[in-house]
Amino acid sequence: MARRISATDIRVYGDPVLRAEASRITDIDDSLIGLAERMFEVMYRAPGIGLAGPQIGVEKQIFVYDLDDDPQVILNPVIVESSGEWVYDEGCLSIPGLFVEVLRPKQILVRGWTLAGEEVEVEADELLARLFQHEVDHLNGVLMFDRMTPDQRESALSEYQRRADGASVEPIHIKLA
Amino acid sequence: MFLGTPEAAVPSLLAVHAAGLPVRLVVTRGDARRGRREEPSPSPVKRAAIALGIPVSHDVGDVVAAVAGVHDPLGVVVAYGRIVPSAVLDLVPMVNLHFSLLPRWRGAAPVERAILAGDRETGACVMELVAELDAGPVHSCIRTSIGGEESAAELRTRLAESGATELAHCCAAGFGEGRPQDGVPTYAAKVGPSDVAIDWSGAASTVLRQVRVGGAHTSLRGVRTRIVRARPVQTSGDPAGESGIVTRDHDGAVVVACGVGSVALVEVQPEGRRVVDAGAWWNGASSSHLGTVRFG
Repeated sequence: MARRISATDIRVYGDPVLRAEASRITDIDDSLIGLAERMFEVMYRAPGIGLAGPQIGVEKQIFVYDLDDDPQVILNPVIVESSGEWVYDEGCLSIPGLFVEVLRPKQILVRGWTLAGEEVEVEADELLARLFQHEVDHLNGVLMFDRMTPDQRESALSEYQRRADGASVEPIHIKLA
Repeated sequence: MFLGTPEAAVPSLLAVHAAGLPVRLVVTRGDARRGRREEPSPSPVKRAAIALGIPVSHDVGDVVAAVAGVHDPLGVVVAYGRIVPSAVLDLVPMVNLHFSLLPRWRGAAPVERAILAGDRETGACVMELVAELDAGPVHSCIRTSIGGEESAAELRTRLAESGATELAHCCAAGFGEGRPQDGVPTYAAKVGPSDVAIDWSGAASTVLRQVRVGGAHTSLRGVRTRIVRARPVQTSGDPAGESGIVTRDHDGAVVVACGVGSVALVEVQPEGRRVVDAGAWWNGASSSHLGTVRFG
């Protein structure tokens, strides 16, 4: 029976699982489908628009997302093409309270598997492309901090630490230069 | 000959055809791709021409061959979206239906510019096509007032319909000498994102015009958001607060304070999301998202 899971089960910055490389999924079975269902539950409750396996402590290459009421699961994703540049104020469920304007490619092409085991390619632009890049990063142990400029990283780390120490409950917003 | 591309040109093609005037060839811009994965799709004018059984070309040069042997050939141009080369124009005289009261708003976006400028009246002119942009002698004009809450799309549809009737009437009756345009011309440049970027410190009336043009965007609670529909708010005189601040009034309206006056949001579309009713947006935006979108 599936364990009850709550939004507080989301692993936060400092947990080593967020820095591990998730392993490729080779078998799609009932337990994987159950995992995807739990991930949606956690994601909706948080709330967020995406969630990657390591964020609930599962070192597997899986992420779920829901943009425009269209819930989807992608396994073993790889970004095969990227182009353009786009700045977006990015937040992460594993780094609560921090929003940073991060510069990343604007359009990407992602290849992976569906939960039915079929290979799928998705072209994404702007917000969806951002979501994919963020989730694929999680599966490689990469966090938002690694995508910031050195100046942003310095202030993000210190302000995040202050907030985590209870100095403030207000969200932190860090602009790009 | 008929040259045109978007939806606004279709009523003219239909009206000219219905008036019994022979249309030998329709020239339209090449098939455009809509969306990232879609196949290229034909222009509205191309679809209409196919339905009427009229040959279609994407090359304006084909006009010359098509008029061979025709006595008094005439080209009719409505929102073609390309310049007609003077080499073609020298062989085939053309008339153009333009959606403004010339010489005001010559150029690409006359309907949008009339709304942005707060014009109370506009119209459509049938004019002779000349080398200089929208500068030809005018044969006929219709005038209409612009509704206070009318969108650019609605106004364009109205002008396309009444302009088409006038155009077909002119074509059937024959063209005499046009009347030179009288007055100082203004130019209607294409509307870009910066034209419809909302500045809440400005007047509510300016914001409402931008919304009516379409694509008006702003940042609300840290998320880039398109304002799809909005309406004026009768304010009691007191400013609702600092400009850009969003509140919900006692009638349930979601109101944004501007530098002068206020605007009530009706429908909004946060980036990457669908269009939602402003009330639903307010509930979602105020309860769940602290600042912006959180990915996993």
